[in-house]
Amino acid sequence: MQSGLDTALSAHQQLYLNSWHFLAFALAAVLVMRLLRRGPARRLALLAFNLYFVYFFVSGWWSALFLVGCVLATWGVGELQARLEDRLPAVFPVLLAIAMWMGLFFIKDPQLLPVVNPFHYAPVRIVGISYIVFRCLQYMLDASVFESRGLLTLANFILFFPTLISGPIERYENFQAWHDDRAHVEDPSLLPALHRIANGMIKKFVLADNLMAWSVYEWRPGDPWAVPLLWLGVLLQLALLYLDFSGYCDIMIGIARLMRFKLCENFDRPWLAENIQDFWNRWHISLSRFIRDYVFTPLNVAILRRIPRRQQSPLVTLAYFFTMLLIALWHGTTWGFLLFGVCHGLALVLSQVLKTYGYARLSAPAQQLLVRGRPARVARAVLTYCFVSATMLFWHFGVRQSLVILVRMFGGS
Amino acid sequence: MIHDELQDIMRRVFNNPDLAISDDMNADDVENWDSLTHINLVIEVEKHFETKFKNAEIARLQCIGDFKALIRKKRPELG
Amino acid sequence: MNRRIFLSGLWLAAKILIVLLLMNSGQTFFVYQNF
Repeated sequence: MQSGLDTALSAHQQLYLNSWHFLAFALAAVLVMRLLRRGPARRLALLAFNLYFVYFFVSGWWSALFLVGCVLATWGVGELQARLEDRLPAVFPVLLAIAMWMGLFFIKDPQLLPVVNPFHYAPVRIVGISYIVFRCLQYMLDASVFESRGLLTLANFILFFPTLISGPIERYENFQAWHDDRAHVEDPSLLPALHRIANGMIKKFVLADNLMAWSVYEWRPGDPWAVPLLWLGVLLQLALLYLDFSGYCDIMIGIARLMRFKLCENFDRPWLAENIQDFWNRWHISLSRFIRDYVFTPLNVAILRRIPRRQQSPLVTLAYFFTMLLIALWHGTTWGFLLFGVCHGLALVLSQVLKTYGYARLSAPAQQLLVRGRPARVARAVLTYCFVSATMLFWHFGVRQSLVILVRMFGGS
Repeated sequence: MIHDELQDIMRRVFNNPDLAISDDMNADDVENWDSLTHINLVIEVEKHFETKFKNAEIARLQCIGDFKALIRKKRPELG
Repeated sequence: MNRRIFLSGLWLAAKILIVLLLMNSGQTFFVYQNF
């Protein structure tokens, strides 16, 4: 006969964010964290809340054990880095990063390379695993520069319930400052945070969930949708994803704010983006910044330190492209995501080339018309939006079906 | 003086001979300072002050004050 | 000052009402779910 805990874990009971259960939980967490202003009781209380929350997003004993192992292993590697730093070979952080990325791909896709994939034989299912891996990687790579390190702080950082299932990707030091009582946000009124939460709920539960019905995700091969409705469905993808994801972020940022923690932002009016680089500076900002700081910058530093000036340009271009591919594959390891990455990588390189060699060569009036003027900027924003929407098809539909849809959108069959 | 030498380096890297820097300035305040030129800046600073920064340190350089503090940390004799 | 807080509170109550009335009753989950 199974114990109650056993049954609960294997049933994988969900904790939905639009439930009274979650509301009660969040309220309890906020109250406790506000009442316990400082001291170990506060940090242990947070751990209790985090553990309660993560229970609903871990499926099975093995996954739970794996998660505990991750926290301890991260702590261990961090200690190793911090104590031995100059005695470790310079290649150690690189190997570590590669191992973590491979681990991420293997965990998310147990069917990937079954021969070498340990998770093929013992699959792990934890919601938000991609984010957990990034938190662990961040800590392991940077441990030597942290002013202080603590196992409880690390555990709470990795399992922090507002960021557990879908980010934002917060930085350890910001979290630590709040966690260890060194930095609080004092708001004169609770109303802005409450409004933030309410806005998020409207975006996610009212707008996104209801408008889903018109999304192209409802289309099945063979459905005779009229072309304008197909366009609407395709263009709605990005808007729905924005409402859903930024709505979630608003709710979590608001809850964190009520706990006096200033969680980082993830969106900055992405509909204003005029090119792909601008887009990724406005969309899932914490992800772009993370990849920039832990992949793009170290890669380029390594290149620019060693390669003479003349040969740098193509390598840096490759670095941009590679970075974009990684962002795409982090989302999922399918051909669809890879194609998404290739498209965005090419668009990124193209916009860089245009900026350096194209726009600069134009005469001033031409620049005003084609670059700086309002109509040109609106046109570019619309084009960027359409481009991202089109490439998003690859996420859900795979390469062939996406091309079928795109052809139909332009009158083909 | 670290301030003046850093200013010279930044004038070269950002192609702005009249640039005047202050501790609280960051990428938002300086034209041409983007993620790529930031790396060029780091490398030029490393070469000029004959030191090497860790990746973790580079990622934490948010403003000019951070640059100065890091340079002082690596070359304390420069004051 | 108090008037502003009152209006803000009223607006918040309206938002809550909107959520309660118009929320899609299906069990929602993320499009952006990263397992």
